[in-house]
Amino acid sequence: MISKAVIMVGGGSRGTRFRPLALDQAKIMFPIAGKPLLAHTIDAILTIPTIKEIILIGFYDPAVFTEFILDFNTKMKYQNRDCYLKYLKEFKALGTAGGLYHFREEILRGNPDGFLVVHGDIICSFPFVEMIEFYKKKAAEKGGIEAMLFGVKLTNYDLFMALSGSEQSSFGTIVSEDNGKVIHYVEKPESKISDIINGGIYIFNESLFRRLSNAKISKITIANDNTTFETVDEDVISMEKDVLHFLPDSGKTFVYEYKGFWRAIKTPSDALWANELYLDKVFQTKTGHGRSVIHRASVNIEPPVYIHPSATIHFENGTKIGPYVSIGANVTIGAGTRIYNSIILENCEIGQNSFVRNSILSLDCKIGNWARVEGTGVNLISINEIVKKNGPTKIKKVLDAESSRVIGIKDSGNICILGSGTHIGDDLYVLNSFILPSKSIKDDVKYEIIM
Amino acid sequence: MKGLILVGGYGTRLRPLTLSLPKPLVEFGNRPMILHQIEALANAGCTDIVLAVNYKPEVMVGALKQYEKEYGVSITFSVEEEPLGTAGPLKLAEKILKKDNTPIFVLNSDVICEYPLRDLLEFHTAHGGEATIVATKVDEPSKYGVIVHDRDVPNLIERFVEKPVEFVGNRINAGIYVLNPSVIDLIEMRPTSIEHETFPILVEQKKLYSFDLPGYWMDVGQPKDFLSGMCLYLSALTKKNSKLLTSTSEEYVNGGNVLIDPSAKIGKGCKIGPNVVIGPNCIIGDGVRIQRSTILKNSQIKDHAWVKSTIVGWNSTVGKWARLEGVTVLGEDVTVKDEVYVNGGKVLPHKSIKDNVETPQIIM
Repeated sequence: MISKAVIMVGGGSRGTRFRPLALDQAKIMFPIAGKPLLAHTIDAILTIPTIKEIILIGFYDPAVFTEFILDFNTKMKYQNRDCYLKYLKEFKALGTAGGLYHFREEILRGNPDGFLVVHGDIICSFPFVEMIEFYKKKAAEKGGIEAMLFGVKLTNYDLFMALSGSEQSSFGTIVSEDNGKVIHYVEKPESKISDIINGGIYIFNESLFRRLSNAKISKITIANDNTTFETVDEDVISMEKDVLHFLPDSGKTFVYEYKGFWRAIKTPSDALWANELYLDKVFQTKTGHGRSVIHRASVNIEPPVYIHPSATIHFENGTKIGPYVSIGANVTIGAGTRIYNSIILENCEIGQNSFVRNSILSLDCKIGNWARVEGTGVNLISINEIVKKNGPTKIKKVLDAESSRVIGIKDSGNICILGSGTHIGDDLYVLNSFILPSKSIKDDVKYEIIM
Repeated sequence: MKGLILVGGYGTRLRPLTLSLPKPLVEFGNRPMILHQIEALANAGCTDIVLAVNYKPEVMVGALKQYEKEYGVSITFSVEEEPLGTAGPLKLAEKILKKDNTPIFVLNSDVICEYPLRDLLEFHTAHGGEATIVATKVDEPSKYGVIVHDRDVPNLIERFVEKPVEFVGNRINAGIYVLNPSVIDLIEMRPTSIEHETFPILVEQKKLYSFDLPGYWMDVGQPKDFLSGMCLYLSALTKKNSKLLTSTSEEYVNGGNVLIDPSAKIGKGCKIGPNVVIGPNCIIGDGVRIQRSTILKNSQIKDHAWVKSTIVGWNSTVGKWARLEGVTVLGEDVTVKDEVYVNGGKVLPHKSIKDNVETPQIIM
């Protein structure tokens, strides 16, 4: 019975690629389609009926999660569900698996048959129930297995890699037999070895800690070895290099193949992808989650759109919102304004006849009348058009050319990000720029980072 | 009294507008450019007007027939077989220009100003010289030919200095002259320049004077200057309290200097101005923002569009939430799709713009 799930949430000193949004709030708490990134993962974990405990491991200040955890545990009590959420803070950044080792006693308390490990910055449709069924089936077949990996089978490898930025090889690659047995694992390969990549979700059992302990011992040995100049931090353990790399040797690790949408949220434009994918998911399945409101199509709304109930939208004069817009609490939007493919966080004010696209507005931004805040290239639709036009083999080249002017990050397209408290005056144009928090913008800004 | 208007060639500098209409017929301040000059000449008592042209499009012949009636003047085309410069056309039209002894006005069709031709004529008759050049003061005289006056005789021109490196004055030739008919005798029948060949003779003879132009002056031969000239023209109308201007008491007028044809329709919640000209039958949607632009007739600006420093050609459509700026010029019948941004695009007639144009360019 899988009764525990561990979410690796990372920490504040990491996630610099998520700037400038990371300057305002923890990446894991960034709201997408009406709730924090973390809540999407947790809500998916709750679809597992046997789950009793969810453990967050990371190195954020505990205050980041205090309110969220309290709300969650209260909600569970109210729903009479026996599930408890807690946060365990690493004493320093311990790598992708060091935290699991450090808190092994917490994880193993109650002797769970197995436990789920999920990276907090992953978005996908989280088919946990199916994955657990597959784990049980394989375990029964083989008389116990060591681990199950979540493999994302890429339908278009070239496109996926092209869209994932300049590094071809920022993913782990899994090679498996037809029956699902993992026979090879390579972290960040330079060439294409397989079209199944590591999706950052695992089912482990007790045996994981033997491997972690071995990794720990070998690190201490290296660290204490005076004959080598190699410096090793014995506390840091890598899931990918220290565990996954060795798993195939025992022949008792299997992969659950997944073919749906999947993405790791690293940069702000990934947040726009997540927004698009989650809004689509909710809209298509018609299963509203929590407080989310997905408005029906109308003259003013092109779904999917999430609008917080406390937001004030002036719908007169041809205001048009959507598709793919998330609007947070207490936001005000003036008449005649057009917004699409954007995330507008709490307390933002947007004037009349303005235009916002492919942009993220952090908390408390203020935009005047007839202003235009525009990113030009993260939209899936436009990327799909490029793919159709150029074919998958040329896509990388095309996107590289397209992104040669991208600000700050190498990415799949241009977006605009306004840090919290940004003020944009009437009539101004902000194009493909990042604005750090608390700036007042009085002139047009194009392809710039404003400190 | 007689007048000669130097029209010249195809007005390529004002493309893409002049791909659809000869330059003199392109509306400036909601009236064909040439009409500003014809009216000024008629008001100054001219009965014969000669247009010096390199070519004679049918559309112009028809338009000018109408103005002949309207202003009670006779308008003749003087067509040059080869470009004759700025003096040659005078010689070519000698028959008409020398038919009586009254002075001749010479105007440049690209120039926009207040045309104080009566004052000019009075000045010309008073000084007793053969010719008067209208002079305007500029900030950077080093780019032009500068007029230097005689030390003793007021307004008598002593010499011209082409592109002076040292400051010798800031009056330049504004391209408007009054000449006695005898000046034509100094011109030979070949391509010649009045500035470089005829005027130096008159300077020698101490018979060339200059007249200071009051108010604004602008050569509106290219789009950037067309818009600057429009601002000056509208400001002058405001100064004169002209009834042509749209009243600033209209809710949508912002900052004044707004000239809207009465047949144009303006939507709710617009903010228009300063410095905007909107032509006949234009339809401006709701929540539209326009500043420093000319919208030529029969065009449509849809809801929430934002237009600045732009010339929108005839019968064009600008989509919802579109944004035009940076001396964008839309030719005739151009469509800018909804939400598209165009910066400094020169768009040839009958084109449709679907994607953002971020940097100034020509769209074929």
